[in-house]
Amino acid sequence: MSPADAARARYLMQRKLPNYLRTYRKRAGLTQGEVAFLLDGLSGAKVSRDERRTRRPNLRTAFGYQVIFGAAAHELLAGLFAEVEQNVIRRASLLSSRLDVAQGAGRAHRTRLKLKALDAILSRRRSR
Amino acid sequence: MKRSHASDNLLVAAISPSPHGFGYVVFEGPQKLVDWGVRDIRQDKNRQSLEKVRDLVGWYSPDVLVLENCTVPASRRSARIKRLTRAVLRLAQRQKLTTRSYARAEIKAAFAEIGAKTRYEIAQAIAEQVPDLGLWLPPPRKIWQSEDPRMSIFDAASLASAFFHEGVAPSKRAKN
Repeated sequence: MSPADAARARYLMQRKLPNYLRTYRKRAGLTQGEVAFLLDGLSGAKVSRDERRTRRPNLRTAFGYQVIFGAAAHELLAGLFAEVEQNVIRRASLLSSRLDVAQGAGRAHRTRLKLKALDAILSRRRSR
Repeated sequence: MKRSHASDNLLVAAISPSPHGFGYVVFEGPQKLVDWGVRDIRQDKNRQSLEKVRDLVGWYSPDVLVLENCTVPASRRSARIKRLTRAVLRLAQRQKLTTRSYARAEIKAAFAEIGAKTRYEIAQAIAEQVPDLGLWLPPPRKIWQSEDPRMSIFDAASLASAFFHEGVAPSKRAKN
C-alpha cells in the first residue's frame, strides 16, 4: 500500500466529517449571521455554504474561523485538510522516488537534505 | 452508563419525531456530539419531516440511524408518528443504512442504571454527560404546559445513548 493509500485508509478509518464548522458554531451558540459579522465582509449565506461544503473558504476566512472557535483550521476543515495532506503525501512519495532514481548512490548534500525533508513529511503523517 | 468501545468511531444519527416536527442528534463515537437540533414543521408534517430527514441523512451519511421502536404494544406514539417512523425506516433501507430501534422500555432500562427514571431525569442525565446539550435542556414541564420542542433532542440523544450502551456492532438491521 502506498503512503497516500495508507493515509486515505486511515482517514476513512477515523471517519472524519468534511468539516466541523457547524459543530463548533452550535457549541458556541452563535448564529451563521453572527459568525459572518465577526468575519467582517461575509454574509450568513456564505457561512452556511462553508458549513455545507458548497463553498471552499479562503485562507483569510479559515483563519477567521480558527480565531472564532479556538480550534485549529485543520481540525475545523478536516476533510479539506485530509484531501490536501493526501495529495502532498502522494507527491512527496513521487518526488522522493524521482530524486532517488536521478541521484543514485552518489547523492549531493542538497539532495540528501531534500530526501530527509520528504521523509519527514511521510513520517509525520505516519506518526499521527 | 457503561460505554462500549466497539462503536467508538461510528457516526450515529438518531431521530425522534414529535408533535412539532422532530429532534435529532449526530454523534461521532459515544463522546463526540457533532450536530443536534429541532426541525419545526407546521404543515404536511410527515412529508416535510421525511424530506428533512433525507437531507440530514444525505449530508452526514451516518453508519447507523437510530429510531424509536413504535411497533411494541406498549408504544404510546400517535398513528402519524408511527407512519413517519416506518417511512424513515424505509428511506434508510433504500439508502442501505444500518438501522437500530429501541422501545422506550429499553431506553428506560439503560438509564435506570444511573438512577434516571423519568423522561426529564433521562434528559438531565444526558445534559450532564454531553455538556453541549446542557443549554438546550428546558425547565421541568408544569402539568398545565405542553411539551417543550427541545425535549425531542434529548429523546433522540437517549436513543443514541441506548445504541452506544448496547455496544453491538451495527451488522444487523433492526426488525421493525
